Amino acid sequence: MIITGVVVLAFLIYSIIQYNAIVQAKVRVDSAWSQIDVELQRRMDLIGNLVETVKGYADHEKSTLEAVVNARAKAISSSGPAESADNQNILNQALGKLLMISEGYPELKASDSFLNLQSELSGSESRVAYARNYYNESVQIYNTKITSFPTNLYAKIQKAGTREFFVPDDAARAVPKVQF
Amino acid sequence: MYAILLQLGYIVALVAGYQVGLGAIVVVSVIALIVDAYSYWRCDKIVVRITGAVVVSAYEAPELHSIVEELCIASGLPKPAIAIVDDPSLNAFATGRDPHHALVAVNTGLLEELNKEELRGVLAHELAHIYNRDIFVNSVAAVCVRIVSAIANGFIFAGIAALTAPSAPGRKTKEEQDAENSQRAMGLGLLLIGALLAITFVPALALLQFAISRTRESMADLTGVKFTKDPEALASALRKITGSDVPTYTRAGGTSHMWIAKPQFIGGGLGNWMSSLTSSHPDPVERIETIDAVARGQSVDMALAKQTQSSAAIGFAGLLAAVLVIVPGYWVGTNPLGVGIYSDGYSTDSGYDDGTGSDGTDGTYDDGDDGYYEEEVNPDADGGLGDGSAPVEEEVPADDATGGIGDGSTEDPSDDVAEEPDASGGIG
Repeated sequence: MIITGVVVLAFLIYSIIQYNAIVQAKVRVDSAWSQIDVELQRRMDLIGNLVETVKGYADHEKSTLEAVVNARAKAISSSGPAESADNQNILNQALGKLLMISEGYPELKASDSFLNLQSELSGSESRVAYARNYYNESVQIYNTKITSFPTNLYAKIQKAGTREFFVPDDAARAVPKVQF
Repeated sequence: MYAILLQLGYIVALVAGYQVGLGAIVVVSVIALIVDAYSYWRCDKIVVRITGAVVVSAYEAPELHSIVEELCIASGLPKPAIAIVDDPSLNAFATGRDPHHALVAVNTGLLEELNKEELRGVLAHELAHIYNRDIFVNSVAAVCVRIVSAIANGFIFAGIAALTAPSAPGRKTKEEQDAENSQRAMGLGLLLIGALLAITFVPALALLQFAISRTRESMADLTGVKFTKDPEALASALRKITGSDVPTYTRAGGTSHMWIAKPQFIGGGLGNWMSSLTSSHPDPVERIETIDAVARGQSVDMALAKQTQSSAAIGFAGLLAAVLVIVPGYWVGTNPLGVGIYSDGYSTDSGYDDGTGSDGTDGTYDDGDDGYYEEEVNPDADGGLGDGSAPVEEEVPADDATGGIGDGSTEDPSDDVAEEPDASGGIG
């Protein structure tokens, strides 16, 4: 009788712990995702400022500037990890082009605000990269938890589904290889 | 420092009698536990005071703050306080009871000698300590070692006290003589057990404590690399740190397990093998090799899993060993051994039997006490746990004996042990 009670109690406690662990892992994924948003927002603001600064010196490079503005707008409105990653790539290409043409404007290159923005932008990029890194790590932990036995049973109770990695799958698998 | 204070407790026991010595095990280790728990709880404040680290704001050290912020994003940790230690040696440490009360400190030497990437690698290692709760792990290990050594010391001092207790003057009855002899025998037993613990379990646990600390360091290296994805930078930082021979000026005594590299003090001179066993840090060459392997493409997760497993295995072995000593040790400490000893070859008329006798268990008591005595003295070095609890069950009043002895002492007829019941009543 007592033994049965102890076993049932132990099972209940174990269940509660496992159930909550899944909830916790899910919350971690969500907060990791919003952390990427925070860092991306910061980056978008910097890009906006950069566009304005470049405009002051090289207003006639309209097509390049517009490409950045459009890509930025699209990146801001994107939803879901995969789409966001694609749009970020397009934005990065446009941004690279903008930085390349700015090489042809010595005054722009020498201006304080441009130099400042450039260094802040590169800092911001590494922060975004770290945020993605953390997000992917969190997704990996979460996905492992909800697909492996016996925790997958508790995942089923709360209908927890697997989450998407930020980068395409093959790149995600390459992450442990550590190239930075 | 307070260890000396605690030893004082045992010296009191030496004068007051062996039962005080056994009771002192409990008192001393509870005090140790409280002090350790307090210093764990307040470790960020205490360590800052010991090392003279100065907490710096984001305005005073913008680069340091931005690196830590990036790493906090990478690890999901809340941002810790950041401090700088004015010390030319290349070192850094992390402390704090949990991620919300964490502090990371770097020496000025480190800030001068390392580039940004290397500094990031070192700071990631420190944040990894916070992430892996290594301060807690190390505190638990330290408490286990301290309590086991308190038990060993308690046994030794109680044994000495029982052996050296002055013989009662005048003519003795046969019973009194027997009692005295059995007290001497028990003293010898306690002394032997204590000495055995002191030469086996205590050093073994101390070595396990060092081994744990080493695996936690390796784990922190790899976890840090997971945060930065830059193993080369950490390897190069470690090369610089181990290549430097600037000694540590900071008073870091007792805090060496927290630093990224073992603080170098003047002195030492132990054999290589000894120092590899008693080092809080893994061999730097090995550390750099592991990180280089990751840089060459070996999986961080695999390497980390290996370290985590060995850390868990060592931790489990250590906890098991500690429990094997602590449980029987406490049992002896809280159940006055004298009850068993004194009634050995003794009828029910002694002061000690009064303690239990007043519970009306005289009849069963004598039966049980032979087993009580033998199982008590012999197996409590390790196997006493299971054996020890059995006699308690069949003679439940033995538990009350601690309290009962206080009553018994008022009508205690024997001179030579008159002081002991009072003392043990005080502890109980």
